Amino acid sequence: MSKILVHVATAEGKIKRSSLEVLSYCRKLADDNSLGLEVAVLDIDPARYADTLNNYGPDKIYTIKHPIFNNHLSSPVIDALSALVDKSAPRLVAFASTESTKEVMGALAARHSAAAIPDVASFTINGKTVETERPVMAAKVLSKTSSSSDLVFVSVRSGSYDVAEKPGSAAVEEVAFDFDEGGLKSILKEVISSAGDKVDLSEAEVVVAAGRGIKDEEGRKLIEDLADTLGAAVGASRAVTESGLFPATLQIGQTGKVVSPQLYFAIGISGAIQHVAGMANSKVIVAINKDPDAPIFQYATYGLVGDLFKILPLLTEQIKQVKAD
Amino acid sequence: MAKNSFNTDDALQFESMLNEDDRMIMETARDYAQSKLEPRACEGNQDEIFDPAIPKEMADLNLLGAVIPEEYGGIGASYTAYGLIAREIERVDSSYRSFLSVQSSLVMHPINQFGTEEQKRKYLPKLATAELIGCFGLTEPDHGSDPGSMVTTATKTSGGWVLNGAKMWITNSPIADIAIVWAKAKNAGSDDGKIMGFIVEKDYDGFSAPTTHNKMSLRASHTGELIFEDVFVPEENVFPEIRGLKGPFTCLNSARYGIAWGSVGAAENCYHRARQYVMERKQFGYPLAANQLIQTKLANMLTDITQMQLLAWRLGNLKDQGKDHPSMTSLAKRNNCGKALDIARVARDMLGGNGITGEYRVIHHMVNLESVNTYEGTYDIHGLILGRDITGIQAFTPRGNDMPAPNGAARKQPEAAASN
Amino acid sequence: MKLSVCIKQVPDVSAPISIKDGTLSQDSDRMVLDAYSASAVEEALVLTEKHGGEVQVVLVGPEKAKETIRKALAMGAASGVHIQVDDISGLDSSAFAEILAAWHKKSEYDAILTGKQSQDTDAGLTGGMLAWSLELPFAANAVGLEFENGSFIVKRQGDSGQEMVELKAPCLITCSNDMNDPRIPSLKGIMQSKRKPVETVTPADLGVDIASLSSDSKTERTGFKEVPGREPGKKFEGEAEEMVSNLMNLLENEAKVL
Repeated sequence: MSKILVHVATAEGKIKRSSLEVLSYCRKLADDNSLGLEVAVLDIDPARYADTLNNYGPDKIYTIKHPIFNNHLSSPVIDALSALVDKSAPRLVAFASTESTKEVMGALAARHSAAAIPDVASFTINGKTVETERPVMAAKVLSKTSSSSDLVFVSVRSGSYDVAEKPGSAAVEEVAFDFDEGGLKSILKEVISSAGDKVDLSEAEVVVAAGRGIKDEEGRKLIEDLADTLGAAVGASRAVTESGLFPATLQIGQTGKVVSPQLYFAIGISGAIQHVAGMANSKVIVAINKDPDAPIFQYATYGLVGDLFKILPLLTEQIKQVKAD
Repeated sequence: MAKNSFNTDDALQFESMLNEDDRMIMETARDYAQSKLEPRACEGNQDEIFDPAIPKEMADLNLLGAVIPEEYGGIGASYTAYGLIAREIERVDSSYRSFLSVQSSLVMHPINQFGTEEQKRKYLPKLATAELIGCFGLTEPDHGSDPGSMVTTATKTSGGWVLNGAKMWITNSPIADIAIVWAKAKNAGSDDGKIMGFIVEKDYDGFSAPTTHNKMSLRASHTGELIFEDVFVPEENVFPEIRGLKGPFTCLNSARYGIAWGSVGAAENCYHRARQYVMERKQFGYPLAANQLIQTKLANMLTDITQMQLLAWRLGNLKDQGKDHPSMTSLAKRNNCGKALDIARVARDMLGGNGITGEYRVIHHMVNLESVNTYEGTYDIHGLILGRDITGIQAFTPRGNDMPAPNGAARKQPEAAASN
Repeated sequence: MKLSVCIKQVPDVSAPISIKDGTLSQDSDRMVLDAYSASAVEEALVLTEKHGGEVQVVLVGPEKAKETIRKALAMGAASGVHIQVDDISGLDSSAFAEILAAWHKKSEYDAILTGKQSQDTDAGLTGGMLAWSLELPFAANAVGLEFENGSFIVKRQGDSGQEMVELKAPCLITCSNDMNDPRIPSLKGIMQSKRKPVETVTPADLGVDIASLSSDSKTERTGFKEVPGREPGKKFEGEAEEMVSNLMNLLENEAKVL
């Protein structure tokens, strides 16, 4: 039986939500097309995820255990995934579209002479063909891209599918991985985490994002207060990362991170299409902006037209009360 | 894709007729204007700030005096390229374009055209790098459209000339290191009464350049006066050969050409902003753009802009081939500034209350264009220049209503605004 | 040091786009240097200004794309290579990678720089595919780049922080537009660029059969569609206190996200 192989990304002992979204959808896709569903995990200790993964009904779990996977480095990841692709021999390999995936996908596809369709908003299988839709031209339009290749790699934008459990009891097969660390032509020297990385933006359930309307340190403090109260990650539009008020690592948008939280606050953000491309998959969007015609209100579930410097302190206070109750 | 496209920014595709050099120069000017000038424009206008870093930024990209030959610090660019630069800078603010026009057309151009080899070597490279900033003094408090009646004098003395008088509405004057000044020769033998050109340095004794305050237009550009109280100018700072109004008019002609292009940029920006606004702004449940009144306004704007673009482009072509005539420039300056002002006013109206605020920038262009339509030959004066060309009859002075001159002498026929 | 920068010409994505019968229609046919490519060129120029050496740009595209090469030369690159392909519409990332690999197999370089993706397709595959073909160590999404003791030190934006990766030369780096602010070419640079050498080659010269690359393409674009909009929401204007209490009520009771 032909199969779908899902790569599951992990970070600090947790499976990434975006990977669970892909896994949930692929279970359904596999059922609809009478395909097998297998999972690939690379981790310093992959066995710890078996129970969680079995909540999503894979038919088999392949793992590779190695300390090098504690951090991301492309060449061992490519070697290991390649070994698992050979082992599983799927027709479709699906990833969450993380920065790590983006780095390895081209090389991996080239190595397997496979088709690669990155960063899709949706995908499906139609007979021999994998059909996808993906944003292009600065996210202004969706391109319908398909492939009838024997092997197709897709990566999926976070928030494109819902997480849905389907309990199962797949066996775990640990695959041996020979790896000559001394022969590496690339070395990971260090990972620098900035303060803004304390909550992983692309995985966060709640995001508070700042735009040009946040003029200064005072505004930034209001953003941070609200985020702290909500336990939210802080994000920013390109305009304010360029101004230096927020670090570039927090940039949300077509050229920055793609986020899909349950709750997204767009504060002082006008809603340029390139920003919207990075957050339109959020479940609930709250926009606060003094310009009633700001395009962000076209996307907002709830829009507040007014002065954020007045609104934010009130909002933070009320949320504090709710959380205390 | 549809076989042929209709570009609502460039309806008759004039940009596709530009050669590669000119198009690349346009891109540089556009990138610079949009990334570096646009962020400063609103505040600059509000608070009357001309950021002193701007001349150097423009110079670093070789935008100042681009048509001047390489040996004097320019790059020998085409007139078309110069026009395209003006268009891109004025898309942001006529004030910035005014600075550039004065430095390039009214200071570097006359030195290159009329100056001695020594003058060219001394001043042009430093003007190109913005180490020196220049201004141009022709207009006087009582003599605007009629510069031939100027009263500033240059009296011949030993080793040079002594200037007396005052010039007004001088862009860049408060920040200028040198001024190109036009004055009537006295005590000068055969040159007596003729207009001559002088390069005046700011530290010459008796020379001052006070700022003009309370401008409601071109607020981000410096404007002032030039006052000469027995200012001695050495012989080496006189343009040796040029005499009469031909000198200043040659400069104005070059600057007016740039203005004809610049006003295209301002108009395009107003049209662009109005179009975006009416597409987004909803009233009565529909975008404003769904209304017939709005659509015809946009159609008129695009039609006018297309004509302005083609006029400027063709004039640039003729200049590059050396086939231009000053009246062509009058026609283009008059048409493009007048149309740009109309477009700005209509755009202001289309933006409703928001059109009043600085952030939307159309009112900024609108008040700027009031100046642009007036300076370097008003709309009406250029009409009279064209009228004279058409009919052969000058109409600068009223006929049949001749008034006695103050001294009782018969009033002579003026050498009017554009005897070129 | 010799740096080879792969650049791309793309439609101006800031111009209005509409879809007619599943195909893209752009008001403006303006073609520009891809912004990510521009960042790669800028970074290469900064590196060679610091460490000596020169920058060569390589572009796959039609005759019209020469202007984009000139832009990179005007920025300061020393020379250009134009791999002329008149119709690139049938080429996917792997086809671009194959053509670029064929060129680089015959040329010398300490590093290849590319954009992390291109503005038109946003795919981000070509760099990795090219590195694979040339068997080069590589890093993607670089936001910083240094050169020390024969190695390139890449700071790349990863999922949880910035990863400092050391790559032994020769290597390949794909550049983020957050890396720098590409310089605007001066008019002097534009005029000088005319005198800089641009070598034009065809894929056939490199032993690549373009027709079969197109027909063997593993992916196919079947059309375009509009990005679906979101359902209209609720918008409040008025006093801050009232708006905030309305919002709290909705977040708690309607959306149930608090």
